[in-house]
Amino acid sequence: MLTILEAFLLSFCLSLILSRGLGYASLMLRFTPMMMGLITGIILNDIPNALKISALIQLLYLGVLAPGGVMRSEPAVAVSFAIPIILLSNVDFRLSIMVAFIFGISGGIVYPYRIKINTRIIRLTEKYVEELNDKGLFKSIIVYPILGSLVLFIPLFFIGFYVLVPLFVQVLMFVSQTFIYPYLTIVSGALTLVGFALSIHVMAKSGQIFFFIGSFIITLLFNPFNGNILAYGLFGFIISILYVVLKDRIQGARV
Amino acid sequence: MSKLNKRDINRSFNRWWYANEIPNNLDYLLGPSLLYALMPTLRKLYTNDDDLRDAYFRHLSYFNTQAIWGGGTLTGIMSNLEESHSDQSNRDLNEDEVEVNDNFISMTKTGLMGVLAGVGDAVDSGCVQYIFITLGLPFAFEGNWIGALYPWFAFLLSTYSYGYYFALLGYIKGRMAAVDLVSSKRFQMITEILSTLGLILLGTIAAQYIQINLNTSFYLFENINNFSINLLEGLLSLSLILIAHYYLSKKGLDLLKGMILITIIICTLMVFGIL
Repeated sequence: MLTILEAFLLSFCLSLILSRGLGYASLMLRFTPMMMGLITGIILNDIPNALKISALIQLLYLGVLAPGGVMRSEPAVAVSFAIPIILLSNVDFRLSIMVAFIFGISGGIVYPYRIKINTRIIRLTEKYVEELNDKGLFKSIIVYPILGSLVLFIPLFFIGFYVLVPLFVQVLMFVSQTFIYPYLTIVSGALTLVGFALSIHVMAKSGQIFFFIGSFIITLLFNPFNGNILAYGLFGFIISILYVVLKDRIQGARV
Repeated sequence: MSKLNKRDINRSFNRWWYANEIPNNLDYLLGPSLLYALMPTLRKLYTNDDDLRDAYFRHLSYFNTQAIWGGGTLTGIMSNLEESHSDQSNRDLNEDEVEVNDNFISMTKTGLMGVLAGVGDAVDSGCVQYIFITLGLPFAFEGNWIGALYPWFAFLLSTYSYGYYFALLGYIKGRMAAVDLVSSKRFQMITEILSTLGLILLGTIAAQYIQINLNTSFYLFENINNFSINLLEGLLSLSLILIAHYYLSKKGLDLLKGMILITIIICTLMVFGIL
């Protein structure tokens, strides 16, 4: 089970990310599971496995956007709880996707309370504007909202890591002894496909979906660069430029 | 004569970049962040307390946009307009000059924040972020820390760089900077290149990390070699992605709905013994 120190460090790091106290640097920390996965791996002293789990969870959260900063599911919360649960229960990593989703939704329920706290703090900001008090404004715009979020989240997440994680570990260890375990693993692994479907929806304009289908089939049949993603990136970049420039020329010629 | 310089714009952008979502609230959303960003600039422009207070309240008002394309450009544009406003308050207007007053500044801000946020969300969160993530994913699957650190660092560095450029553009060109970003052909082509590249990389990642395994003891697969099994698993994954994509485009972007659909299909395939 997690030690008090591990539970505290995890809850502190997660709360700092959700407070957005690291500025715009915390955007990717909150919206994608990879970096919080690395931090969790460092705290639990198992970076390789933490990253393998994070990568799987990342597939689920591909294409998840937060217009206006609001998300129904919090990827950072999802991954920081899923990693210790999966590692401690010693089950198939694919199950992390289901576990992550449950905790991600819980994070989505908790996050808006931070905004409510800030709405109270804003009365102070109005007062300091009236007084033209720049030091007061710094406190009410930066310091108090961060402190408010930390006070809200740290105890909540600490209880989660220290109390809920062992419970989930027990449940998963029990499930792994039952006949539903292999079926649950298959379903959980397949859920990563939803992330791809969402990301196509976010990225593709009319006709562009064929680039996804094309690269999928070419990779599947020929794997031209032996899985070297940087080579794929370079090749994809050239193709993208050619496509856009040629399309522009053709449209220009028509006009 | 210009009262502001490059350093002022850089400082405003840095302050916006940091404050961004920290004071997000229900009344003004990101208004306090914009105020925090512009405070030193406003102090420099307005020496009279009443004018300064008006300017502070003007930027504490309702404001919500994407941090780089919206926030970067608008910190520049707001600096430009506030400079004109402070300049005009000390002299008579020329005949052909537009009066930059409180209403003009507020209308410009609210008019542009949504449009720029739309572009910014689509490009930064929808393309740039996922291009870096897909480039890092294979390393993460191997358990290599570069897989997590590289996408984060590359995203930060690139968005900061062009965010700063947008802030300068906003200051130099004023409101025309937003027109440049939203409707110029060059930016539209860059956006299209990024989304095409993103889709190519996603297709590659999807094919490389298939999480579906066929049941090889199923009677139809018994005499099939490994290559064909891999091919079938890939084609099944691709079909399911496209079905989920079609379903979500009809029912709205909802992760839960997509998960329920995939669960039903997978359970059905398991009942028939295919998985």
